[in-house]
Amino acid sequence: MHFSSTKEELLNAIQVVQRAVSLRNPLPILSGIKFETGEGSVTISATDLELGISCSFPAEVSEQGKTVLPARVITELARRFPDVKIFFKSDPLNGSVIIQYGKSEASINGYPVEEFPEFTIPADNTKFTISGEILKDVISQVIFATARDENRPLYTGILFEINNSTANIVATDTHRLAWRKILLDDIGDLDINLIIPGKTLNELTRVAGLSDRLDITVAENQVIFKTENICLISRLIGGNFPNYRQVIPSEYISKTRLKTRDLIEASERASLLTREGAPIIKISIENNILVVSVNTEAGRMREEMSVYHEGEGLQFAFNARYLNDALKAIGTDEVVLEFTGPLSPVIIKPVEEMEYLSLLLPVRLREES
Amino acid sequence: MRCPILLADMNSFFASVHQAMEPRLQGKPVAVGGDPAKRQGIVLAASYEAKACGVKTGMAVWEARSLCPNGIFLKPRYSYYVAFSARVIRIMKDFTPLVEPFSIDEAFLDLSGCDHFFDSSLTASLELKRRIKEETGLMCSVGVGPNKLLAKMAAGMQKPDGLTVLNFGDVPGKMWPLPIKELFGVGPRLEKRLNDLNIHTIGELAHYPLSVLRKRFGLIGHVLYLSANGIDYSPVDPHSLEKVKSIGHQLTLPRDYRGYRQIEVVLLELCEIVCRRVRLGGFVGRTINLTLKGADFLWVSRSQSVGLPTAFTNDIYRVATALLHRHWPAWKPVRMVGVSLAGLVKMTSEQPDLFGEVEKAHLLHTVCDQIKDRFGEQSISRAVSFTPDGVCRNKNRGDNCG
Repeated sequence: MHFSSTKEELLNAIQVVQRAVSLRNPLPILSGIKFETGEGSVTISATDLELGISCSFPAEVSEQGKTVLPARVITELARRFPDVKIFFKSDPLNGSVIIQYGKSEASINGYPVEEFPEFTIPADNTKFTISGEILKDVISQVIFATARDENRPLYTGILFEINNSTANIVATDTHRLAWRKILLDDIGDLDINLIIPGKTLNELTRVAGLSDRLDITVAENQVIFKTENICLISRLIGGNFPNYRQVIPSEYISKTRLKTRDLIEASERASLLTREGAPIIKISIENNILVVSVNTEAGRMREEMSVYHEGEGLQFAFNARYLNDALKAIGTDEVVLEFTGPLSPVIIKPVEEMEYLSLLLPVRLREES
Repeated sequence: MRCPILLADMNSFFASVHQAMEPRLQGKPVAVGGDPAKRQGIVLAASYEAKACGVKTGMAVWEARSLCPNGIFLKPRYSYYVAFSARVIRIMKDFTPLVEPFSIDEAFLDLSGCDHFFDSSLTASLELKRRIKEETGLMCSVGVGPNKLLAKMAAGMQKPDGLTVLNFGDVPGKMWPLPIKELFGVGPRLEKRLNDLNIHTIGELAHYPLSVLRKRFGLIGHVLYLSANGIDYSPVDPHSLEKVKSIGHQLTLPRDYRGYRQIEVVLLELCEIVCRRVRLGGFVGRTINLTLKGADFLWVSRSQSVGLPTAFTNDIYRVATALLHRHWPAWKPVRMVGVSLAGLVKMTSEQPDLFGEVEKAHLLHTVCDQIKDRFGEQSISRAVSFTPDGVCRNKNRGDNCG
């Protein structure tokens, strides 16, 4: 193997794949980054067996070959290289890689390349394309509702329910739910359900550029996202996603329109007085006034704000963290809350007509004995 | 009063209670320990006569018997100890309202502001010792100091029937030469970590650079440093025991269990017991701790927190199982299992879920609790308790559960 590239190209690529490197895995090979030359480019890849990322960058290749280098060393080195042309060359004597930069050179001991797990894409697969910008947008709107509890893996994923030219994208940790519907052009008569790990989609939004078209390949229990130079491969979560349609209320009994920022700030202040792990705040609405209040061992707080309310007055208790996650994900100045009953989910959605909403269940207060 | 804080430590408490109740035991070597039929056959307390033969707390009963063939070995009777402890606390409350029970056989007293009742802490301590001896028949060691730490250290300096004053001026002479493990708050693990820093005596800790201790141990490091210098700011809190922080239960298994399948049976039974108690107290908790002891007596203790506080058996069991799989190799035999739930708060609210699972679990637990309230803890059990690996329905061991 013999190639050269610039520091910038190398570092960018390393920073993309480095997120899949697994430093705390009993398999030492997984702490490495694989380098493989191609025609005028080099592809590097890393995987923790759940998620794999590879990235190609332009390089002058004078001799084909591949190697696996320790991720920690090569990442930190790449960051500290001077801004010159960098040469990588296998040392035929001992299998290490000689890196030349300017007048300096380093020789790094690698791992046996044949031990590195291959990214295999089964032949029997389904393909479609989606705009990176839309996908990023959608993920940021629903990902907050995924569960963080690894002991319930199903809820750590996001459901992509694709049917013909529409996709329903849903996340829930069972206490709240976020749903978004988008139109997909020219994908044919596709009918698939995928549950993609939240972590994978989080990484995807980090590494994929806004302008990219994303080619998505689905095969058995894997999903592969491809842009021009990046490939991200992840396992899919198995199991049946709960029937989200049955819990989305079709009508409401009253609704309120308010400034998103106002409610976020008020509930953030109010939750300062609540105890860790259970930031329960009370919200009541009467005569176009919304009151946020708490009354705890730490003290009391009461904030009023003007809203537009249609229907009868009401009173609820919420987990402030859940409420704020939903409000922040909306990203519009104004938000509409639709109420469907004292213990039924509240619908939170943007004012603008958009096929997006999230559901939040109010907290049930139990009398202190 | 310069030294208003007292710590009274009942000497050989369990053994002394038996001696106080049965005069024939007085002056005889008495040891209280587990039932020989069971595996936890260790000495919980020994009278000073038994200690003279070399019997020590924590020793296996068979070992104690060989050291002290004339010894009288008794089964523990916790109801007696609780009753005696309450009597002692009542006597203390005649001295000051600020009594903080610290364990079943120790309590702190704060005599600040009681100057016009007693000439000095010393006369108050003598009177306290006299009344406890006369009214309950028990002896105690009293430590007197300007704060809780020094009172506690002082109480340990003379046993039995001691009375020691430890003021700030005594710290270099009396506390600093002591080995580090004698310092209040230093257990075996912390001792090892302090030894690694070449700290072997309290004096060495008192002179160690504070910045290093803070870096190594965080806030605990700072508290240790102050403690080694005799400084302690904590107040005597009469309500400290009323605040429940965690609820747990542990079981020594009737035989060594092997493989996750067997261990998980006991784990589920334990989660049931713990959650039942948590619910009885009206609590929910966030942090699940699993403790396992192997046949080699080496143990691991690991915790994990969940997002929302809960008292549902299945929520706790799911986390406990995950901890088991993560931190215990499947082949390793298990001798003891413990589960506890910490970060307890009063259950004042409940976050329902969209699919009705929380409501279902709530109803199920409420009904089971109602059945147990009415017909007893054994009236309804998990099906696993009836399998060969279950311990709660095993007739010899039923007293372990509930």
